[in-house]
Amino acid sequence: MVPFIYGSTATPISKKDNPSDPSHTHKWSVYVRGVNGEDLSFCIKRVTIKLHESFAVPTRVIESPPFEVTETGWGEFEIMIKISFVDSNERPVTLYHQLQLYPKDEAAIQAQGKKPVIINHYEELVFNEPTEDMIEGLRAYNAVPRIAPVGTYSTQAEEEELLHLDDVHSKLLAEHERQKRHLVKVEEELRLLQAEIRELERQ
Amino acid sequence: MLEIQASQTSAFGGPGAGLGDGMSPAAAMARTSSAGSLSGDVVVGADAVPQQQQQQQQHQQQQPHHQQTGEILAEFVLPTLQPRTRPAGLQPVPGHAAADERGAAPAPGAQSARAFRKQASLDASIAALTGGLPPVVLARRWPAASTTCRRWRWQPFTNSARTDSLALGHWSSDPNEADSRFAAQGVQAQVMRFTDEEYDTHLKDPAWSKEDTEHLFALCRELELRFYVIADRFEGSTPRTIEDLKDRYYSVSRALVAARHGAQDPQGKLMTAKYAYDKTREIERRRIIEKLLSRTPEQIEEEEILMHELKKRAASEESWNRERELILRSLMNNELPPQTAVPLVPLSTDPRKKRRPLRGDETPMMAQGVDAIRRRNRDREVDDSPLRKEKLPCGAFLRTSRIQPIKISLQTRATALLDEYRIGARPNMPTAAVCAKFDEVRQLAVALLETKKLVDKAEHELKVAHIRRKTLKDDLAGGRKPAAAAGPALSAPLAGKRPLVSPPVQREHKRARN
Repeated sequence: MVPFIYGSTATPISKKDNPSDPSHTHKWSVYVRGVNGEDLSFCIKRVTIKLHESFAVPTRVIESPPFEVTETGWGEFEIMIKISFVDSNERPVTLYHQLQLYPKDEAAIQAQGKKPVIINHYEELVFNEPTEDMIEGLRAYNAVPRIAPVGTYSTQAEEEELLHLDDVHSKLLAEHERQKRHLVKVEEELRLLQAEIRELERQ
Repeated sequence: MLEIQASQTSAFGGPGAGLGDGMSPAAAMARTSSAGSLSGDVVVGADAVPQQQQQQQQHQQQQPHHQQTGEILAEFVLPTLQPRTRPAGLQPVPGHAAADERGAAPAPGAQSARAFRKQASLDASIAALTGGLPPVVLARRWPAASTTCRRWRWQPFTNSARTDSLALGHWSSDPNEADSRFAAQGVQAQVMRFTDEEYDTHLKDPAWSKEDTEHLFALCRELELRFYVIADRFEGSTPRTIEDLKDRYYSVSRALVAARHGAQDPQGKLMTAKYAYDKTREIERRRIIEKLLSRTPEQIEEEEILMHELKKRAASEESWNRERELILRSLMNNELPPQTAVPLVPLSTDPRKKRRPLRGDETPMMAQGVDAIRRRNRDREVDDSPLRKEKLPCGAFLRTSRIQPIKISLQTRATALLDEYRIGARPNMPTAAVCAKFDEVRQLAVALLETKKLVDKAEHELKVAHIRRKTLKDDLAGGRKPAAAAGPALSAPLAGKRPLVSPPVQREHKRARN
């Protein structure tokens, strides 16, 4: 199991920063990296990042870390990220990232100024039955705990999320039980009523 | 290259089909004359052969050949796949082609030379069409007929199945045949005989008199056990069915065998088996056959339709079963959320170890009741099901890819419901534990929505039932016995204006439930 982060940062630029194309409003990068910025090249051989068709050379192939593409542009679009592994027996995995240049809500846009918009996603690569080649690297990598105890993606965050999910789970479960009881009640009532109707119909 | 005789290729088209294009006059003449003498010489698709190849054909005419002479060649030569050497010489002068031919092979006449030329051109045309490879289906080798024939003689014979010694004659190829071949068919039925004594000790039957039994056996002997005829001719004291007759005949025979051989004698047992007869079964069989034969055309048609349906069902049954199994599995899986997560997390540094402990656990777990069975089921799922294999690919995959999608029909509502609880489309930190819990929560939300659906449906039915009851009560109140409708307070005063009543009632019920 290899935890990693994929995502993008976007910073607004002024026209003079980018004389080549004045319509471009942001400078952004999209990347794949370790949770704490570790080098993942022990298992990742290449990252193929597919940008919007309008970019020059929309398919970027990065063979060595940092697995990152930096561009300027004006639009948001979905980026395809394909991760190929050192072990050629492993099939590449594909994930999709929505490039985001502007903050989600209006207030944040107002307050943003020159601050970058950072959208990160935590993800884990799971190697089910890896080959001999890969085992050593994975073992060495996981010898050190990679997820920090505190921080954005930490054991603490995980626990909090689990707690939240547990909480929601119990709420939903309670609601479900309530609904089930209600259903039984309604059906019982319906049954009695139907018996009564049959009785009436017979008269 | 190969030899193909004209007689075989003649099956492929009309005589002399369009060989003329671009051919030199002499060759064309030779061709027409040979085509006249050997009608049926045909080249497949020869009209497509361009001039160059025609010249090649003439070129070929020079080839030395060691076959028989032309006509025999055209008629009988088998398709030997004999390679021919093509001389690298100059193209021959067309007019001298025949002379060349004669020089090369001792042909008896011009006609055979032409035939041979024809043959050669055939080779070339076919070679041009097939790219020099032997065509696959041109020739068929018939099995060689034997050259000797059997000698048939007129000879006398007798038939041993006959009682008289009538001697006749017939044509036969077998000199030793003295008895007729049909003697084997003349077998006589061996109907047992019994003495009066035997009858008195073993064969008495209250349903049968001795006279009737004797009459039956006489008929059996006379009519060679053809029971349909026997039943027709039987004139006993009482009318009897064919089953009655058969039963009596076989039971008497069995009793006689038992009496004469004893119960333990193997030969006796064998013979008893020969006379086995089960009357009730035979009657049942006849009844069923009669039923089968007396079906009306409509019934037959219906039966055929049903059979067709059955076949269709049987054909689709397999896929149904498979689908059903998958659904069952996924249902079972949903019931076991914490366990689903456990084995899928190769948290140890060596993910290879992951499967081994699972398999090892299997045996001790068997004893641990339902839980063990479920876990084993899940294990099997991981191992067997193609669906599962997709979900747990052997190799690298993303943790979130294991999260099960919500079924489309409930997607919007489920997303909205989960939104209420601040759960998005994807966990914030999709570790193994989180993903498992996340999946569990989502499936629970789906289950909840499904239950809600059922509740809505039941409530609706309840509403309808309430209205129905009210209508009925009103009917009763306004109809024949108004006093009987004392039940609900509403119905009596409003009985007259039923159509206006339902909406307020409906609303009332709704309010009551909410």
